[in-house]
Amino acid sequence: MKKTPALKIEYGNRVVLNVPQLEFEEGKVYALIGANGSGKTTFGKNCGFSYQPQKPYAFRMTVLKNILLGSKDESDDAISKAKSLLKELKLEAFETARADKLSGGETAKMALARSIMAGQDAIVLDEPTNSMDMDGSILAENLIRRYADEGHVVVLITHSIRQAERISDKILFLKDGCLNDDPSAIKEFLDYYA
Amino acid sequence: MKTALIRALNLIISGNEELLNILATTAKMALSSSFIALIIGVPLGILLGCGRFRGRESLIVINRTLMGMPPVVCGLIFYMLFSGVGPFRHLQWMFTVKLMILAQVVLITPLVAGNLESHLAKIASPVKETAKGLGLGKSKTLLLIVNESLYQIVFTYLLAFARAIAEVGAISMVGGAIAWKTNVMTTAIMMYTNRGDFTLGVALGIILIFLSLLVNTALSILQRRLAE
Repeated sequence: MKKTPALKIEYGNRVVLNVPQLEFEEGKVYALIGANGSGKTTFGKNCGFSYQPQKPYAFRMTVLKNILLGSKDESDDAISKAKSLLKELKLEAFETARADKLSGGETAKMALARSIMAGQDAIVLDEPTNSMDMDGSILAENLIRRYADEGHVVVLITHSIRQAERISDKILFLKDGCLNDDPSAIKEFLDYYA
Repeated sequence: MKTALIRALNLIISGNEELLNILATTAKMALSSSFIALIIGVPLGILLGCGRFRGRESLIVINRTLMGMPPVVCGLIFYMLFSGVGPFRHLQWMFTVKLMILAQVVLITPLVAGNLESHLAKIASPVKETAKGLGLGKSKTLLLIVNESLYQIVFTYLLAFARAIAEVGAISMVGGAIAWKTNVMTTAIMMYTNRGDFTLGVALGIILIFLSLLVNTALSILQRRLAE
């Protein structure tokens, strides 16, 4: 079990996040949903897990080097793992391309591969498939699911209800900075965005 | 004017001794001061651009103020500190290249730090956030930030060098434009023009413009690389 601390974050007089301590089970994907400004990103940045931002940064180096940044070393094993991630996300043609020249969707795939490469026990992916096309999203979702199945905790922040239903084991619903467990509220939200 | 130009070109081609001495003094001063300013200014720029500490905003404002400091004011301060009545008179640095370099370092360092600070203000947050997400330590994050700023650092150095080579106010006050000792291109142009001897002044002017052209070409290429 991975635990996040109880979080109460205020900007001025406004409480933007107020959640109790939470427990996350290894091997599971948790989808974190909620309207804009509900506190999803604030939770992601402050929960203590490794956080991949919505707009990932592409370093001024090759795509392969970017992915290897997540690795502890640049051993043959690491390079071969990075290359297989590239292949899985259909990015192998960009291996030697400059990462800061990629399109939005390609950058998002590269950043996902980099996060997976880092192999952190628990990660928060903030809308990782937002700028990907349908095919790219499916490839990314498969990778995310497999990463969780390997024994990691994945918290997936998403606005796509279908995506949440497709790959997550549990849906967490944030409203006005608070976790809302009320099934009728979650259903209302899901129905509204479905 | 045509005669002065022809004589000036002759001076350059023949390798006039005084001209070479002025060029050597200029190179020594401008290269040293811009390099020292880079050594001090880069860490300062990184601290101001990436650091989060109390007083940072005030330091940025002070640095920006110093970026616009008139060279003659800088020269006046050093004159007061190192001349016969100043607290550092015993060092006997007045009218030496050493003091000219020091005055230029004070003028140029804020330029280096400020330029880097404004570049890092844009990239530091996303780089740090990404590095933290990958579990990278502080030293590796710092290396990444420096790596992302390499072109900017070279660009800033060239700017600093261009400022150093063209500066006249501070160095004429603390260097005194002494022939064969502290006379550099800008002060020599002023001196010879005042004397009505245009030949050496024009020759130096041609070289100065040529150097400026070289530096600006390099800056343009770097700017293009930065934009790519």
